[in-house]
Amino acid sequence: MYRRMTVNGCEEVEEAGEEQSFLDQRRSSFILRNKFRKLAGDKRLGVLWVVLEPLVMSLVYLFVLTVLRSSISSESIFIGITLWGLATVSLMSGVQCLDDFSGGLKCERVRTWVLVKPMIQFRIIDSASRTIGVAVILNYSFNVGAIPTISFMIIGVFLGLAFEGLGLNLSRIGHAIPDIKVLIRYFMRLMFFAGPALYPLTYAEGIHYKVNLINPFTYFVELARHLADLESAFPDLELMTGALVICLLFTLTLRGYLGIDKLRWELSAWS
Amino acid sequence: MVLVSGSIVTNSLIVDYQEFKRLPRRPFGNIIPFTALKDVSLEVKPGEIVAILGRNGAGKSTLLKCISGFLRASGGVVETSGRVFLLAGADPGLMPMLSGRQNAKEMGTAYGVPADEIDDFVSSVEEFADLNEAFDRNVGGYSTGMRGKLGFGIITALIPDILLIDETLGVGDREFRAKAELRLREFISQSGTVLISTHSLGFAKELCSRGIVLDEGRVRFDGPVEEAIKEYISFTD
Repeated sequence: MYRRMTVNGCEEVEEAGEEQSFLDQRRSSFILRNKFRKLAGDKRLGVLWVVLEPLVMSLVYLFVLTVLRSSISSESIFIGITLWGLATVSLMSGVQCLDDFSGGLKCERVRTWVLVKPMIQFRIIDSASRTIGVAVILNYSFNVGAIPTISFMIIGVFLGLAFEGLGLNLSRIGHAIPDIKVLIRYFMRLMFFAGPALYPLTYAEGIHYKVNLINPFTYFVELARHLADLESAFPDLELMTGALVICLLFTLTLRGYLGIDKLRWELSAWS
Repeated sequence: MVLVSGSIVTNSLIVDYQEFKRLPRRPFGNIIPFTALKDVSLEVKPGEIVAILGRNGAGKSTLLKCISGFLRASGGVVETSGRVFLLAGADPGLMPMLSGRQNAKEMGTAYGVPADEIDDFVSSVEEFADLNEAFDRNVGGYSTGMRGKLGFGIITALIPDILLIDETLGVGDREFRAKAELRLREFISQSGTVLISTHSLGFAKELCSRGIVLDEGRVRFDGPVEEAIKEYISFTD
């Protein structure tokens, strides 16, 4: 392995041989396993909480909204709360990705793709797990149907990846000015109430409605509600605005994931 | 340029750290660059064992981090050929929720021990760390010394092409330190090229053939280890 390091990057000049590629595969699996171990922590139910958390959260809000005699359907709340929780977790995971770029291996530098691959795998599995509990309830308790249920899970996975990628774009500024992370948390809390997480967008009017047209979360959650045949503003959304917002989101997502190597290198000298 | 496995070349290496500082006139703080290495050029041939000497803050650890690829240089070039291991402290990345045995197995796999040698690897770590029944307990419950023993045992059971050691013998009790020193000597003799950052002049003299003295981020001396030690003593006295 021949490595050349300059201010622009750490470049491995020779192509990885079979042995190195095999080692990289093993390291990726190791890092992925480690992510799940960290997620499970010392909790008795371990990673099962990933499935249970959106369910519990949805039930809490369902209870609150029932007490408030809200007319919003339970299915809509389940979909909105689950996708919002997923978006928040994924965004913060992207913002905080710079906390550890060693992949848990402190003695030897690992290639960036060895870190990125389990990161994407973890996001896909995590997103699918966070939606699966609610998907089962939607299918069996509310008879939403198999296709809308599976679509809900697929939307969840795309949402997770997109928001993590978005977070990666914010990680540099979040690392330079940690206060930004605090502000992002507050912003997400604000958008939880202002965005269509608790209620469909049809409940919003005027400026409230217009602001949500540039909120990428709107398109995911409203699509999921529309496919589940629930009240949704999706058919009435402006096509051009939606296409622009989603294109911008996926461009930023791609930029986020592809920029990890540069970011990792640049920020290694920040103390 | 193609390097022979085990070689290290640095050319006009400069490292600036970006530090956050809160100053009286800037209560919200500012990012201030701090230069840790200034124009460091050196070449280490395969099989050489080199001592890096210098006062605290001279840039020894920064140089090793840079060579290992963990730290970006602000200027210049670093080239290495072969697998580079940085032994800084005695934690290769231990996971608290796993037992010592599971950690040894996981770490061995992740650091490239072949699958058919993993059991021997774990046995070697178990024997060296001498943790008895604690080897099967979760690392989260270990004392700092026990973690150090396990971590040191895992790292020194691996064989890199280039080994960078940054003052690691500070773990464990007196009995363990003697054992660790012996293990480290074996480790060094098995590794290809070795760079040791140390304050132990006796250790450097005994093991190394060449010495590099760093002072305020610059190479002050580069030559035979005896002369490097004399130079280090002369300017620190």
